[in-house]
Amino acid sequence: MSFAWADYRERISRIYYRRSADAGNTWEGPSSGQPLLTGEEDDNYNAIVSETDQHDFHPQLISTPSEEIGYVVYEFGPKGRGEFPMVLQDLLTDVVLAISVDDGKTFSERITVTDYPWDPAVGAPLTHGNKYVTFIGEYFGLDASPLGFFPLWTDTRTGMQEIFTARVNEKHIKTSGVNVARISNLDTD
Amino acid sequence: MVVAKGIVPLASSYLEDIDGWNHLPGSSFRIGTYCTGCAGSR
Repeated sequence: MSFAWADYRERISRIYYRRSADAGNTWEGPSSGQPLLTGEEDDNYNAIVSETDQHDFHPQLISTPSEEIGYVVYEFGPKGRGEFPMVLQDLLTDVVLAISVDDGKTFSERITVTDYPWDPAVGAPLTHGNKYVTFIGEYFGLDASPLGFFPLWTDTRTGMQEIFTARVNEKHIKTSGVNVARISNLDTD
Repeated sequence: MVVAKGIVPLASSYLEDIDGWNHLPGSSFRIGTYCTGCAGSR
């Protein structure tokens, strides 16, 4: 089993975790946890660890029946848009998924699920009516089946907070950025 | 059982506190440390 949380020991939000291979009798690694994402690049030459100006938060973990473990997280920071020149826009949020095929020992593949990052300032409700504090929800979700992983996240691409999902497997994104309220039939290939 | 100790949560001593809610730098939404777990399939 594995447990993960957002940790600020690096003065940037990173996801740390602990793993037990014997049902919680013993726990691997340092007692304060270890970074969940490590290493420089995955097999597709994608960087595994988020850039140093990006905050990772609200992690979720799930396993598939075939024993892959999926990890999904919000990644918040300045995002580039446009091919050239790259334009850094406001602080935006991507949904990032990583997959472990060794029972959570390592997460060796990283996929950005969102087609483009969403703006957490759009349509954000106030927290207890406080105009200085908004709320994007802490109800980020992740489920899995033999078809792959299904993250469920808040997205504002439509101009308001709505719930989106995608189906992701270890090969590629099968569906991307689907508004849950408008799903009629997800591709089942 | 204690799973982890000595963690550094997203708490006000390290992050901006706006009216009692912690925020990541430059953000307007509240933040916190929430734990998640996975028991695996075996």
